[in-house]
Amino acid sequence: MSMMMRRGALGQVQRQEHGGPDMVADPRFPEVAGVGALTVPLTELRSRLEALEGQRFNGYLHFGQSARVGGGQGIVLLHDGYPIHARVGSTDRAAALIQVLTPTGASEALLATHGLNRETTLALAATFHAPQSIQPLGSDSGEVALLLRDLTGVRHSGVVQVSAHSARLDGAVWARILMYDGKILGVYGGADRHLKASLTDVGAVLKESSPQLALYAIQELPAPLPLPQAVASVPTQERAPGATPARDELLETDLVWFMSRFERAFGRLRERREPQADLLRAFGELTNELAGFVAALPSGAATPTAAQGVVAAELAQARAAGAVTTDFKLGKAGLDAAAMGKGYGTFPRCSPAAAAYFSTTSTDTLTLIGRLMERLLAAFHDPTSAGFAREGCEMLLREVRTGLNEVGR
Amino acid sequence: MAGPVVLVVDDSPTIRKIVEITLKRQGVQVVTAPSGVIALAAIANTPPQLILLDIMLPKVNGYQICQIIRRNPEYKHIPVVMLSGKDGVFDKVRGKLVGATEYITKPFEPRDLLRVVRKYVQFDAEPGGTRHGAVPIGAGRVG
Repeated sequence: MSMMMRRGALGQVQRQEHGGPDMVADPRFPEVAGVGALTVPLTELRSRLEALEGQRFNGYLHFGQSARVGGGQGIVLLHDGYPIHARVGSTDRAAALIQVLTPTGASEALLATHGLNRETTLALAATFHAPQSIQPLGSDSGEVALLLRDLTGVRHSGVVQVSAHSARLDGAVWARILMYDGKILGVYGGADRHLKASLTDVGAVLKESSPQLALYAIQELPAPLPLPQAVASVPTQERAPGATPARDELLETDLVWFMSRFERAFGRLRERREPQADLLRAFGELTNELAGFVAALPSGAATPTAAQGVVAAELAQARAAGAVTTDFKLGKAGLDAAAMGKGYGTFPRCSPAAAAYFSTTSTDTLTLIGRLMERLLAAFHDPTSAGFAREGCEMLLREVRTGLNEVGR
Repeated sequence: MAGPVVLVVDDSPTIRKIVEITLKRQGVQVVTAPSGVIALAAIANTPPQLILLDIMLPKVNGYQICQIIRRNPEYKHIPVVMLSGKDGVFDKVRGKLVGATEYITKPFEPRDLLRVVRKYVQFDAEPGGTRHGAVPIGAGRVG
């Protein structure tokens, strides 16, 4: 029997944690040095999540609705690119994710993206469930050391939290030890949330009055939360200009044609040796084609110049929102697709710089494509038709983002 | 009443999704399979009225799957429409040799798909409208 079980039997279990209410707004997650909060449009959150899926991101997004300090904080924990837990206020999991992705009047959110390793992410996932045990601790750090030895023996994965009330600070103090498969990943505390390889933070908490222990354990790999169906950004009573059922059919035709074309082009090119330059050129051309459909929305037809105008405007907005950082050149019909491909060739073959150029440029181009798709989806008359079309668009972007991870391996 | 069943075999989730979206809206029941092996299991489980079959599939390609279907007395009558990015004459001939009924070439539009499906499957709704004037810029240059 493990030490934690024995201790659980001996100690009186307390259900009221130190600083309990604080947990709702503050997930007590570790912070990554140098990560700051950016103001992003709420409409960007979905595409950001999708981009992180493509990157198989591990870590969490921490955000606050609007720019109000402390207002409506939330968290989304991602494992291998997929959201596995979410919390907004007192709402958890899928319902919280819906809240994150559903605009609520505010147009912007403060967003910080903290990248962690896979094991740390999984350890933190344990804190979305009730602790396995809560019990009082003595002030002797040897007791914690014994417990850790025991947890190592049972290959514990999760979080060991030590908390107490500080009379000096008149509030709760805490420290967390993250573990995965019996290994200690790091320690951090409320005073300094950067992960450290030292138990100093724990020792500081134990010096306070009535310290207690909460043990969080992860039992199995959490299943990914489904991304909720996107809500049409245009309310039904405010139809997009020119929106009619007949135009819906044409928009659907355009999107189905575009998606099957993109899928074919991507599927063919990715099979080539060193396809990066060809892929970037294709992505540029496909962006321009999609912009042609957007430019055709008002009159049903579009010139290359009109498409170029759509791309230029979308690019300017995406840059201003911080969603795109690539310095794209514009050609006559939109993005200069040839220059995108040639740009890759200016880097030494198989170099990290070439890989970084490909990764950034392809990701940013997909962001532009996603934004242009949003404009077409927002132009639908029937939200159900828009919802069907959106499913296909999202599937395409997911497939391409996942496929890009395989390119060049 | 349940509609006719069409099996879509494609390793691309995007293609499976957009075919599913297009056909389901016409009352067609769509069964999807990402590989030939899964497709054969799906056929045995629920024999479809039509099979839309991609050529480039992992492990067992579309031609081989089509050949297996044609050699099976129970399923050889099922129309098989090759749904493919390959549009060369050789590919079409090869498709015919293994018993493919017809071809749809990617990229396709909903009406292309519905027109072909309507030839082999009975359902009520009329196919969608025609493309509007937005001629794709640079069409045909990619890939």
